[in-house]
Amino acid sequence: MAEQGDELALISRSIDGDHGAFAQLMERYAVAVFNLAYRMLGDAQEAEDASQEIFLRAYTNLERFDPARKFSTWLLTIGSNFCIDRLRRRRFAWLTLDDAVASVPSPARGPERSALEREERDIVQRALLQLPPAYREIAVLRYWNDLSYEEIGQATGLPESTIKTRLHRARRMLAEALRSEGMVADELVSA
Amino acid sequence: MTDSPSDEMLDRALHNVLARAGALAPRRPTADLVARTAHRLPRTTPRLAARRAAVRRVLVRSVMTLLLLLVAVPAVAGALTLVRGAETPLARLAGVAGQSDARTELVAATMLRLDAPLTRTLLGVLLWLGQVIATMLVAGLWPRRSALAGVALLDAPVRAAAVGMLMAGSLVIGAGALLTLLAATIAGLPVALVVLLLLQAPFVLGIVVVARALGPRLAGRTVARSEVDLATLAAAALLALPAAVAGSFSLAAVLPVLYLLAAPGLGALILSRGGMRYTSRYYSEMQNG
Repeated sequence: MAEQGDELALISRSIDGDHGAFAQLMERYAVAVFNLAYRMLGDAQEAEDASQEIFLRAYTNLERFDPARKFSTWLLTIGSNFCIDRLRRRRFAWLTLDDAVASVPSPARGPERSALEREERDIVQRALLQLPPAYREIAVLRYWNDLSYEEIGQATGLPESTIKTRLHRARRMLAEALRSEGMVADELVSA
Repeated sequence: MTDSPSDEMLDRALHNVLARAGALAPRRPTADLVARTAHRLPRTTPRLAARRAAVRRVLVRSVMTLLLLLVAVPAVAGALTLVRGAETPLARLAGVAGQSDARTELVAATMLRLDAPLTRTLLGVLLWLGQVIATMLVAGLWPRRSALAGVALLDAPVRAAAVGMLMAGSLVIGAGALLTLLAATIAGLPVALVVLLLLQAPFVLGIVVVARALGPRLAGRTVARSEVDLATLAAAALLALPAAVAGSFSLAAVLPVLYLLAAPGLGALILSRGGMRYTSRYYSEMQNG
């Protein structure tokens, strides 16, 4: 409770233009925001950029924050909307005038890379990235950000029934993808 | 709505699998993420920053709408002119030219000059030079992306040519229809000119990609390099010849020749998402190159 009061005080100071207070808020949620972006976008560098943009958006919209809500949920709402938007815009990413070549996976994998990819964490991340963005968003908020259905509803603006349907499908798709990698038994998929 | 028992079971089981794999462990961002973001914060209060952001959004939207209207309004006016069967400015100009002896003579004299061997040769040389310079400039601006698109062309030339021909055809038909509408009104003529110029951009990029694919072959290399080198220059010079030769015979032949040459490069650009993303056996060599 004291922590929440402290958080509201930081928000209030941030609204007055105190960058130090907002930096403290960022310190608290940097890991959560970065992880949401990383799980949604699948690239650490892109997740860093996205995290910065999410915090900048949060700062600009800080006056619209409703103190009755949890700040973390509000921040994750901005984060998940931003990531979904970014995934949509990826289709037009090639229109940029930069000469940067996006990370291109080489078909010839060295032994080091192959060994790394065998790690289960990488398998999970790959399976997660196979989900459609709308399902991935729900799965990330549920499993990686530990949000309840109600909080996911607040973050996405979706009714609880839709969240449950999407989560059900996301779970099955994830289980199927993990089963094909030999990480889970068939029973989990057919459950 | 409550979870069914199987849903709950799957939920728990999946959670356990993820936890056991260590996949739920948070990844750490770089240590200076907060410092870098704080550095980028607007130097005003959130309220003022939000207001400025809103103004910027309105400005961007207004400019985009204006640009759209700039093309759409003359195009609609042109369509109405054509539907009504009214005389278009180009037809009027042609009519006036046809009725005036002086103009006829002027046109005939110009054609005679254009037909002169020296003029034709000069025109061909200028076309060749212009194309080489444009190719090298664009390749110099986007060396990595053009090289990667070149790799895509080397990997799948037939597919790239087919995709490129389809895209070139669509562009020519689409732009042709738009230009017809725009040229039907006086106000649309300058917009048509801009559209005509913009239409050439994808084909210039296509030629550049073909040059980037041809360069390594001319140099006897089997792998692409990201830097623009003499091999690219040689390829650009070679690729500029057909249009220059065609131009010295007939100006009307220049664009079709250029479009045909550019089509495979255009296709490769699409296949490699603008030279941004492509998987190839050449890739690692290109990275090191």
